[in-house]
Amino acid sequence: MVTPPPMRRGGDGGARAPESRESGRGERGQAHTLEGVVASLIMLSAVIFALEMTAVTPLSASTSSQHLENQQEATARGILASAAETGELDRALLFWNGSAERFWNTTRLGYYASNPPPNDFGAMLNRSFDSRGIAYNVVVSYEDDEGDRDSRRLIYQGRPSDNAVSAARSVILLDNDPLYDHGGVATGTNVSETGDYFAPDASSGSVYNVLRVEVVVWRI
Amino acid sequence: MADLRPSPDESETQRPPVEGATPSPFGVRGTASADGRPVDSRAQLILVTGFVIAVVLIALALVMNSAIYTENLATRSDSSGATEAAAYQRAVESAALEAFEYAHAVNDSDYVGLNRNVTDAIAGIDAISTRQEAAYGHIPNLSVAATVNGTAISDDGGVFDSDSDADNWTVASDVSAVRAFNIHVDDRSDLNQSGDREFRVVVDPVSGGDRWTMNVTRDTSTNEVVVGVNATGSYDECRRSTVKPWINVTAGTVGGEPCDALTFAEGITGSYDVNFRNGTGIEGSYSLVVNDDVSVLYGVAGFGDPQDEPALYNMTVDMVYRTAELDYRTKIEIEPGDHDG
Repeated sequence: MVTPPPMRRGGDGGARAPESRESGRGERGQAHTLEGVVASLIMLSAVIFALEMTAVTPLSASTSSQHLENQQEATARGILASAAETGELDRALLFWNGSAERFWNTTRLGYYASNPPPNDFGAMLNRSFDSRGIAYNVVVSYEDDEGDRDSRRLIYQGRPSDNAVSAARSVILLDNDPLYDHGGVATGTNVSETGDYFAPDASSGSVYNVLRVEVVVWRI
Repeated sequence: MADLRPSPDESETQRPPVEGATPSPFGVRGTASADGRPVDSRAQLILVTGFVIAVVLIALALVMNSAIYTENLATRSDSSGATEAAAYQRAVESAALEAFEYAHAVNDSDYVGLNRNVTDAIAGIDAISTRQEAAYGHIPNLSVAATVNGTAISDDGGVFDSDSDADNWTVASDVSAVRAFNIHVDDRSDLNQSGDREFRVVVDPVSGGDRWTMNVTRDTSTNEVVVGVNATGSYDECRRSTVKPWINVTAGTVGGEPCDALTFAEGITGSYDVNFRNGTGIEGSYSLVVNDDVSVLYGVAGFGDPQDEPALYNMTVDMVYRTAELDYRTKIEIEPGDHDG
């Protein structure tokens, strides 16, 4: 067994050292340098690791934005629930200009963009989101003639960000639900009596179609 | 490159420690050179300190990370679909109620037609919404579990007498439930003021016992419509100054406002008869639905005569809503205007 040589204790101070002493000082310098490099690497990687864990940017999926997303989702859900209970959601969906085959007061695109629909559902969305810098889309999906799912935009304010949340609610239309005119007054025309409505009659019974209204909300 | 190997003379003969050296856990330190400058081996100390700091930082990062992770999980929105199930149930409830009423509007000839109408409607909702919800990983299922046949009784005008013009008569006998019982008073001046001629609705238990009585009169001094209720031996009343009030007996409202005294058939258990007393003491219209499928109660109805037609008293819809983490089952009772709310 070979006994390792004892570490050279260098530093004879001031006086010019012989050759063997010179080599001993150089050995210590290298060791110190290596120790310093290794220690700094460890500390640097620890700091980077810690920063990686806590970095919060405006769009990072941090806890605070998760809270905001929950709030926005709950708000959207609440709007849908109260609009459905009062019948405003049905009215907003049946606010249909049959001759132009689009919702009343929309442009040729057929959906509302910068301004919400001029009815109570639109007012609810406006009060809840517009003043707080929150954008929203409302998309209605339904069953088409072939039994496939199709969708139509009711409100479109742009492409949602990665932090968008959504809430959805089904609205079941019956054959005798009336369409509403541009003043929000029920017309004498039932949804089943016109061929102009965007969703077809998907059931042989008294049910007309089931519309799934999805509100997508995101911060801008 | 310097030769790192120790010289043979140094490896064999260890230098004795200098006087005054301090013992240290890392070896001898404080050795001094010939001119008194301390010669130290701090490298190990620095290394260990570096390690300790690194470990502390990593531990800190782990603790913070786990705290953030925990909070992230805690604030995660519901992914089991429970809120969707509740929203779907509410949508089905309101649609089934509409479909139930629509079924009576398009076909009120017989029970077979009524049953077919509501069953088709629920099947239609089920078919479309199942295809829709399946796209989101939710599987709903709706079916009509049961319907209870009943009879809708109504009179569209005049005094509340029977088809044989009797003043005191039985509107429905041996029923155990009444829903959507509405009375519309054409004009309060037609109401008898009080006493023996006042219009009364009397609910008389078949098995005997206390009756439930509601009278509708007018207070001549204040010109108010007075709805008095005698239930379980105590009398209470509501007063309204509406000229043509609606009295929603099963909902407990008079003139559109809640009347605390008015709870239909309060204290009555089992089957009962619904009687009108002094039907000529009031003018207007009324309607009610009883849970008894008597095919013909009255003769051919003319204006001012009571008439009856088949109606469903209620409908029970079985609803199942499944997601990957949820199996939600409930029964939805559709009973428009029932007195339980």
